[in-house]
Amino acid sequence: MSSPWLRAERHLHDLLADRALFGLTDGEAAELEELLQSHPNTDLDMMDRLAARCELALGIGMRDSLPAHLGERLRADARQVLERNPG
Amino acid sequence: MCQTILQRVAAGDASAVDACLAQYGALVWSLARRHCGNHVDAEDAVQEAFISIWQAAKRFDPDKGSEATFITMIVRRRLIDRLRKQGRQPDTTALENQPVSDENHTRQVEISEEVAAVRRRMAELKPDERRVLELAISEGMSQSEIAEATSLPLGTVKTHARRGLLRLRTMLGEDSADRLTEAKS
Repeated sequence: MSSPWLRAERHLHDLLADRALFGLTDGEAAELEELLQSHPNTDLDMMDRLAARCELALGIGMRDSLPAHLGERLRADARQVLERNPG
Repeated sequence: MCQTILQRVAAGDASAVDACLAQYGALVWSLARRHCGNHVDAEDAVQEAFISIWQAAKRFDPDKGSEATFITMIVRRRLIDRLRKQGRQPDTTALENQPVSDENHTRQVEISEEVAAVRRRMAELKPDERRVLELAISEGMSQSEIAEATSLPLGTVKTHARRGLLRLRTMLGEDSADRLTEAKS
């Protein structure tokens, strides 16, 4: 029989998997926050990184470059962010 | 030591922004178009995603994965949040018009070894687990949409998704351990 701590860790991993694949409801997010209090060394991004690798592994063909007008908006946003948070 | 593009962004190097857009702009655009129902939504999603990328750049750790993986992770989070807030699901007809992979006409994201390993291990998952993950990840379907598409009960979809991803993580952990053993021998 697994210990409460182990069951909690499994539930934590389940919630991280759910978040990476589908997102969480407010209630689930609150549950996750609570579980993280008792598992502070958890790699928060591990499932999200894995889902990202899966998306890349499933193939993402890039037919088109970023539209030019969108690129300008992104550069303007970047200037604002970098000005607020200089390195 | 040579800094990565994201490390340079985090250091406030404005020229790194252009490098990031040149290197990853098409990837982010393709991800947004894959998961958004229309062009306008995709543009807004890309803008939100890159703001998150600029803000998160200092968290990039090359020991944990490639820049492409990190950026895809950030973009996916924004897209999932966006879809949940909008309460809308991606228009799958848009996907029919945009083949995921067309080697004759599209550039492909360079497949790093870490991604190649995931591809190999995904092929070893149970068919139902693999199918659920494919629908969740590359088509952005919700659990209920997957249940409808596969005729699986909702609870089963949830279990397959969780178990599949966790099993994949375990298998890839074994790959890392094997590489470490080989490196030491």
